[in-house]
Formats: sequence, C-alpha cells, structure tokens
Amino acid sequence: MRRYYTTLILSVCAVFGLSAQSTWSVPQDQKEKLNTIEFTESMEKSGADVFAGKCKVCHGVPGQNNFNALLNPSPGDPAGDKFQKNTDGELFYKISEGRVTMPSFKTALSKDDIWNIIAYVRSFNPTYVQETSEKIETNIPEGTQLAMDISYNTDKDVVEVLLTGTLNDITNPVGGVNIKLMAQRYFGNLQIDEAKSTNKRGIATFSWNKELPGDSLGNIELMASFVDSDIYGPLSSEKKLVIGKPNNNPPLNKGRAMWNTVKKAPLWIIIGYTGAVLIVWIFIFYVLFSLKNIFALGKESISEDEKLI
Amino acid sequence: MSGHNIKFNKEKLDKIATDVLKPLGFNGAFKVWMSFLTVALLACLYAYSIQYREGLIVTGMRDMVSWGMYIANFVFFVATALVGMLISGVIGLLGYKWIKPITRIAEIIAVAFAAVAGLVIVSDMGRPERLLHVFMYGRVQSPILWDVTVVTTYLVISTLLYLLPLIPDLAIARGRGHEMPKWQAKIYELLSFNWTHHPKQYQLLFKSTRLLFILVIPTAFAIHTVTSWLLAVNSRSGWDSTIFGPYFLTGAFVTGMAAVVIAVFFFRNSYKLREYLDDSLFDKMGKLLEFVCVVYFYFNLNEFVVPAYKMKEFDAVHIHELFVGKHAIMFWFSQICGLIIPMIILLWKPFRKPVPLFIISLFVIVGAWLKRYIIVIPTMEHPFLPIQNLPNEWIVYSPTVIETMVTIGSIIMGVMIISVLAKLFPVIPIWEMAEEEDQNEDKTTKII
Ligand code: HEC
Repeated sequence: MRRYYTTLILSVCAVFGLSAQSTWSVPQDQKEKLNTIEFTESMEKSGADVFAGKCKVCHGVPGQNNFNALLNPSPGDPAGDKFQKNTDGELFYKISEGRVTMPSFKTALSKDDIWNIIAYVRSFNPTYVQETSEKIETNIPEGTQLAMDISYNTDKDVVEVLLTGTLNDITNPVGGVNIKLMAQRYFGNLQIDEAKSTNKRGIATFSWNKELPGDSLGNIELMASFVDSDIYGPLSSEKKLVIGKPNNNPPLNKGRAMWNTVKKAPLWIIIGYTGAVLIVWIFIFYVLFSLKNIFALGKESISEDEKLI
Repeated sequence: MSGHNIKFNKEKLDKIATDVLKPLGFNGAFKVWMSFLTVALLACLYAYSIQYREGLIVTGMRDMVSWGMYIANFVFFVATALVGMLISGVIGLLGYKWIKPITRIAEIIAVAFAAVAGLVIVSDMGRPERLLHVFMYGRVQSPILWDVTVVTTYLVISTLLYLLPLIPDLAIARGRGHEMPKWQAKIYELLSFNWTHHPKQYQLLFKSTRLLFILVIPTAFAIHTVTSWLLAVNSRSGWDSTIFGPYFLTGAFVTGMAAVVIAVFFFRNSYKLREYLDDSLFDKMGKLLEFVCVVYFYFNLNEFVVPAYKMKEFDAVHIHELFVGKHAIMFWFSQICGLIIPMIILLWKPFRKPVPLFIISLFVIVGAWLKRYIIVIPTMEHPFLPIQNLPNEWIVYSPTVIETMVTIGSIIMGVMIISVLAKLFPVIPIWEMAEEEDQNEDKTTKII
C-alpha cells in the first residue's frame, strides 16, 4: 500500500513536472569532470552500500531491471545503456543536482560518496575504461598568494574580477584562471553570467543585468570564486556593490499579517477575538453581579402573601 | 419574561424533595465506588508520571503522526460537554418542558467533560510546565488560542448554569433540615447565597439563567467549531473540509445525547427516581437522539460521499484507507453500529424504552469515541509530502500502553466528578419540578 502510494505521488509530480522526453543537459565543464584517482574495489563496495540505502527504491538493483517503472521520466536501470552513456562528469552532476523526481544528493552525500556510487555503477559496465584527471600544472609559481577583487565597470556596465598573485612582495595579475561569480539571494546564490577566464591583465569580465533586484538601496552582495577550487584552493572574495535595482518591497513581516507576531496580527482578527471575548465575559460578570444582588435580597423580609414556600 | 411568576405546588414539592434528597450523601456503596475509581486513577496517574519524566516519546506519536489518541480523546470530551447547551440552551429556549428533570444531569456532564477536556490537552503537551506560555505568548491568529479561550469560557458558563438553578434547591434542603455532615452543610449554606425564596430573587435568577441560556449557545457553537478548525484549517485530506464546523457540532449532539441517556438511566435505577425519570422521558430522549442522529448522518453523507465521488488523488488514498484499508473496521463500526443502526431502530417506540435506549446509547458513545479517532489519526498518516526513509513504526501509529492508561485516566476523572457532584447535590431540580404548571401557555418561556 505504501509503495503504491509513493508511486502515485511521485508519478503525479512527474506528470506535472515535465515531459519524459526532454533531455537532461549538463554544463560542458561539468561533463568533463573526472575523478583524480582510479576506482578501487573498496570504493565500489562502499558505493554499493550507499546505493542500496538511497537509490534502490527507485533505481532497483543494477542489472536486474527492477527499477520503479511507474515513474515518469523513468529512472532506468543503472547498468543499462542510457545510464552508462553518461560521462563520469555527467553522472556526478546528475546525482548532485537531481531533477524533478530524481532527488538532489548534493547535501545528502559527500563528494567521495558520489564518486563511490559511480565506481559501483561502473562496475556493471564491462566496456568501461576509467579516465582520471591529471593533476593540472598551473602557470602560477609555487608559493604565490592569490587575491581577488570585485569591481563594477560603469563604462561597460560589467562586473570585473581582478585576480592577482603576490610572490616575494611583487604583485602581478594572473591570467587563464576560470572564475565564477555569484550574487546572494534570499535562499541561496544566483550565478551571474557563465564562468569566465581571467585575461592577460588578470581580469574576468561578467555581463551585468541592472534589473537584478538588490536591497532597498540597490546593494548586491557578490561572491567570486575559482571554478577549479581543487587546483587553486578555496579562495573566494565577497563584495557589496550598489549595482542592483533598489527593491522597495516591504519585507513580508513588516505589515499586519496572519503569519506575523501577535502585535502585527490582522486588525480584524484582534478586534473579532477580543470583541467576542469581551462581550461574553461582560455578560458573565453581569450574572455574577446578579448573584450578589440575590445575596442582598436574602436580608429583605418577605410579606406573608408573597411567600412561596 | 420578567412577568414569569412562580407558584409552587406544596405537596408536590414535599414529595419531590424527599425523593430527590434521599439518595444523597456519601454512603458506603459510594465510598467503595470512589475508592475503586481512585485506585484506578492512581494507576493512570503513575502512567502519566512516566510520560512526564520521559517525555512524549513514551507515546506512539512520532514526527509523522504527531496527533494521536489524546487529541481524539480531547475532541470526544469537548463533544460530550456540548450536551449542556443542547438540552438547556436549545431545547429549553424552544420551550419544551419535558427536559426539566434532565437539565441538571446534562449540566453535570457538561461541567465534568469540559473541565477534563482541558486536562486532556495538557496531557498532550511535551512540556506541560510551560502551559502558561500559551497565555503569555499565544498568538491571536492561532485557533489553539481560540480553543483555550472558548473551552475556559464554556466551562465557566456551564458551571454557572449548574450552580444557579441549584441555589433554591440547596435552600429547600436546608429549610427542610435535611440531614448531612457539617462540611456539607457549610457548602450548602455558602452556595445557597442567602436564598429566602423571595420572589425578587426568583426574578433575578430567571433573568440570569435566561441570559446564560442565550450565551451558552454561541459559546458552545464556538467551542466545537473552533475545535474542528484546529483540524480544518490544515490543508490535509480528510480535514480540508468546509463543513467541518457543523459536522463536529452535530456529531457532538449525538455523543452528548448518548451520554445523557446513559447517566439518566443510571440515576433512574440507582437513585430510585423512576417516577420522575420515567418511560415517557426516555421516549422523548430517544426521539431527540434520533433527530440528532439523522442530522449527523446527513453531514456524514456530505463529508464522505462527496470526496469519495471525486476521488481526488490524495483524498483517494485517505478514503481508501477508511473504506477498505487499515481503518475500515473501526470506520464501519462507528458508522454502522454507532450511527446508522441506532438511527433506524430508534424509529420504533419499543427501542426508546429505557433499557434498549440505554444499550443503544452505549453503542453510540463507543462509536463516537472511535469516530474521533478516525477523524484525527488516518489523516495524520497521509501527509502530502511523503517523508522518505522513515522506520515503519514512525509512519503507522499505534497508541502505547501508557498513552491508553492516561486516556482511561481522563475518563475516570470525568466519571469521578460526575459521581461526586451527583452525591453532593440533588440531580433533579426540585423547585423546577414542583413549579405549578402555568395555565396560560403564552406566558411561558417559549421563544418560538
Ligand atoms: C525518488 C526516486 C529516485 C531516487 C531515490 C534516486 N533516483 Fe536517480 N533518477 C530517478 C528518476 C525518476 C530519474 C530520471 C530523471 C529524469 O530523467 O529527469 C533518475 C535519473 C538518474 C540518473 C540519470 C540517468 C540517466 O539516464 O541520465 C542518475 C545518474 C541517477 N538517477 C542516479 C541516482 C543515484 C546514484 C541515486 C542514489 C544516490 C538515485 N539516482 C536515487 C529517480 C530516483
């Protein structure tokens, strides 16, 4: 019953979500992503454990075609052709990001876990030959201190990120490094333009849309970081620039609203509630007051003809 | 109505007072009964002490089903408490006289059940010592706060409606030198408010009670409508219904009527009050029960047939569980034995005789309790967003022994309150029964 129910819900979501045919495109740089080390048997083993725990419900056991066929789009058998045609990078991306019914495992699994799963899934493919990424030689001399600076070029209306390296107290621009730029939003970050490479002068240029809403003053918090943080390190730079469209929408908790605190509750509800309570309790107190009068009447004498008992 | 002049039939008063006052007093049988209840209650309190120490983890409630038997039981208590309003408020204001002997019994039930309902909610709290926070930090937007407010208000009004008409009776008992222990005499003296049967006192009493009768109707409507809103304001299959207010209210009338019949049957026999709680009274109560059953059936029809016809995807799962799934036995028992069969057989007079009516009411009240369970729990088991990778016992709710004992404890408490009140004060309003029937119909309190 439960299984039937899960299926029902998932397929409903899927039907509304998208058509099965649309292809799942993966950004080029992600597609080419490779693991740095070769898959080992122990990686496959731990991948198998994670797969059994997190993926089996929908994908079944690889090679047995017992995936949940009611889902649309179909999850497919991981040992099947469609699945295996993905590059390692594509698999990594799809598992991390997910799509509609396929959950995103970005936060649920570590990078190592995902690579282990890929190792496990690949073990069902006899024709698979793993490529590993080589440790890329950079043109930056060992020991260089890298620094990034974000600025806005008002002439060209673009955001520029300047990458410099300092070695032995001499600072030079660094070219040929991929940099990505993000803008902070309410729930997570928004990537600005595509990842860009720094030019000879160490500058990566990102086109800017001035319509992007900022805070009430038009402030936007930007963050630049390396695309290949594995190679260049986790350096990132943040800067607040007044380049967004001032956003004067009042915050959601500003006015009176059902979801706000008591003090900011809608007037009609405050009036309705207190009004009803007051009216009823005034009458209750009136009755209590009558009791007092009844008590007082007890001291009055009663004439013979008025006597009831 | 201020023109309502009261006149007593002295002989009648004499006889009624003797009959009604006789069974009062904490006699041996009562003491045995109360010690039995006390021992049982202590066992239940022990269960609660475990829950207090360990937290709600000792219950069957988990993340997914976070409202269990306690909430179902709470709804049941509130429902039963409503009968005070039905009898004194609605039927009384309509001018029916036959309810006179049972008004006080209905009010006792209202007071007892409303009082315990508040405690039941506390038992559902993980940190009951923070109860005050509800009042200190309560949000006026939350139906929970409304519920706390109306339950308290209803309790106060019901208590007044119980105590006010009691005043002349207490005075009568004192005036007749009814034998009683000192402490009880003290209570009688206190609560009789210097009552001297002064006509003006009667006028004030009539005015006050009449005001309360009117006041109790909206309050009682509010208490159960708000209770239904606790569920209905959630967009969940089974609760997401616009008729939930009236559906609960009419259900409450059924429950309350059954409770009154059971109580009246009991007092009729053990208090030897057959003369006042006679067959014709049972016939009337049976008819009233029949009437509220029909109305409730009508609401059930709407509540289940309409979604079952449409079978919207989430409702479909819910309805399926109720009709043929896990909860089917309970569902059909409460519908068939607790509502449909009583509704049909009550049409025949023999079934409205005391004993058959009593048995029917037992079925109705058990069905009513189960119905509350059916309303609360299955919906909880079907959230819109399925929660993944939960252990099975988190998804399927079954109450634990501790939970069941705490629930039984609440019922025992209700019975104890009723028992004490019924032994302390007269269960039938002596003065109202002894009132000389008004010859002129127009002058009575009928509002229609
Ligand atoms: C809730 C069901 C569900 C779970 C759990 C699930 N998947 Fe999927 N998966 C799907 C569906 C459905 C698709 C097809 C999505 C699409 O095409 O839009 C899919 C697609 C994929 C794809 C892309 C296949 C292709 O042909 O391109 C990969 C890779 C994948 N899943 C891996 C995993 C892994 C690894 C796990 C466990 C960590 C997992 N999935 C868990 C439902 C699931």
